[in-house]
Amino acid sequence: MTITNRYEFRLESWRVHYLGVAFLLMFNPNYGQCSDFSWDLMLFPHSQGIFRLDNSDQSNPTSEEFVPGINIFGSLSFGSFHLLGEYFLDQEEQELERMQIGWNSDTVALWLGRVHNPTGYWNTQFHHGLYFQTSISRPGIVEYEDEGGLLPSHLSGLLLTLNQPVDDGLLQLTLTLGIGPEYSDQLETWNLLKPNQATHGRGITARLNYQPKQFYPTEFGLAGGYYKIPASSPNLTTIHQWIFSLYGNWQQDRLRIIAAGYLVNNRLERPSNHQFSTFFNAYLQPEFRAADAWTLYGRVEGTLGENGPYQQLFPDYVQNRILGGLRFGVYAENALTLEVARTTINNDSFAQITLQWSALFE
Amino acid sequence: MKRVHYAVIGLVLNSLAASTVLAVKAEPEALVLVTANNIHIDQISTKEVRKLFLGLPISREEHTLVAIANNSDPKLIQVFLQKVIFMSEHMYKRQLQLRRFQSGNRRIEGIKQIDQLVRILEDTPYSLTYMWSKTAKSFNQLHILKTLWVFPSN
Repeated sequence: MTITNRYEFRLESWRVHYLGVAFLLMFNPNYGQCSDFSWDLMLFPHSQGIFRLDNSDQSNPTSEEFVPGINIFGSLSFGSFHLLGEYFLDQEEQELERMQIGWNSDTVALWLGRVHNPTGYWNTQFHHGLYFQTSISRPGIVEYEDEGGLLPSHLSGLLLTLNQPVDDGLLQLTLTLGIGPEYSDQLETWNLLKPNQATHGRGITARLNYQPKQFYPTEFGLAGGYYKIPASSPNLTTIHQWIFSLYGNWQQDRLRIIAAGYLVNNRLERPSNHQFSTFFNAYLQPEFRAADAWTLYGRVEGTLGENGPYQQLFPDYVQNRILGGLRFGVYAENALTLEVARTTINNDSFAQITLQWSALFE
Repeated sequence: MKRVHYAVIGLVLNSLAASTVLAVKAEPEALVLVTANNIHIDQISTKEVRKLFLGLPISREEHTLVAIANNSDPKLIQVFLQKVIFMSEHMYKRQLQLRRFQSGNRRIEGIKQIDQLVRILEDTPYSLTYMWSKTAKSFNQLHILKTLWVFPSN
């Protein structure tokens, strides 16, 4: 690391620390909870051991990993105004995942900032709160940008939600417009803490979802989006990406089924020509809460058109996977989960066993 | 002589049982929504109560209402969840957590001690909670806003 880099790194660290301290000061307990002002803090620590078996390339992904980490979520509210922030830390990354300020009413919510892209269900339901998702892994199609994901998980800009009650149900329209990622070996999201560091694209997403019974978790929806992704590669200048998705989350008593399908079309602009790359991905995850503390689950996910030129840009993308798991709620908001999966990444198929502890401290 | 004793005891027990039945019939157990006497809230629908206790914003006179969960009695919690919220305890808890995490919805404080709950209601403007009607009537500082559910009479 050069002196300049070291200086920049130190400056960056201080900037992050100052932000963290400022954020925590806002949670001064002396404010308490009054009628109009409230604050909240949720900590999501996790630790997981990953054991990969029989993969031909032992170097990447590694055959054993131990990954501890924490996601810190905080919010401040004054009447209908809210400020939310989510910061994720583990051995490999420290990133401000969400920072959004907004105004909510019964029928309208307007947010400004870095938000999760509402391309489907998973991304906006669980965010980075690992404890909330039953499975340890995310489906490959909704994987984060820096984990091999090939769709923009984050956008920075404007998010508008309109709610319309329909009988007992609720119809919800969500529109997001903002700064998207650029491509440089992987999708690189725009970082609020380093706003001038990289070029970035732009994108727009619209999602329509329906809850048959308002306030209840069952919902169905469809989403579409367009993203212009600049590329910093000698033989690739820009990616134009169109996404169309359908999803559902059905929950009744002890049974839950999450399913989604994504049709993704990409136009890869090269210095001399352009190329189209289209693929379809779907996943189905049934869950059964066998007892209060025990949940059995499985997931099948797969890609059609799996060796297209766009996917070849993402060597860590999970093309196909079948998995089963068991989650045990140990005590209070603590869970132990065991997941066994057969995964195909970059045409290499291998078995993987993951054991995870995840928790919510609030 | 023994027969007379048994007859007297029988009569006493019968009259006690009868008076209990009459008392129950006169005032059935009910789940009510309460606020402090010093707070004036005109009306609130059951749907608004459900939204409020799911952490969604409900306002009166430009002030946000504050839901406070009464955790003093497990039976009360069960009845509130089954008859007002229509969710299991597991699902309710998860929905509250998810809404706070997704949209910054307000955290609902849960209070186990009834005296403390009454003090908080008095000290927190526009706060509401639920309790048994007989409990609410034993505190002069409280005002019953709405009957949420009544035990069916036999």
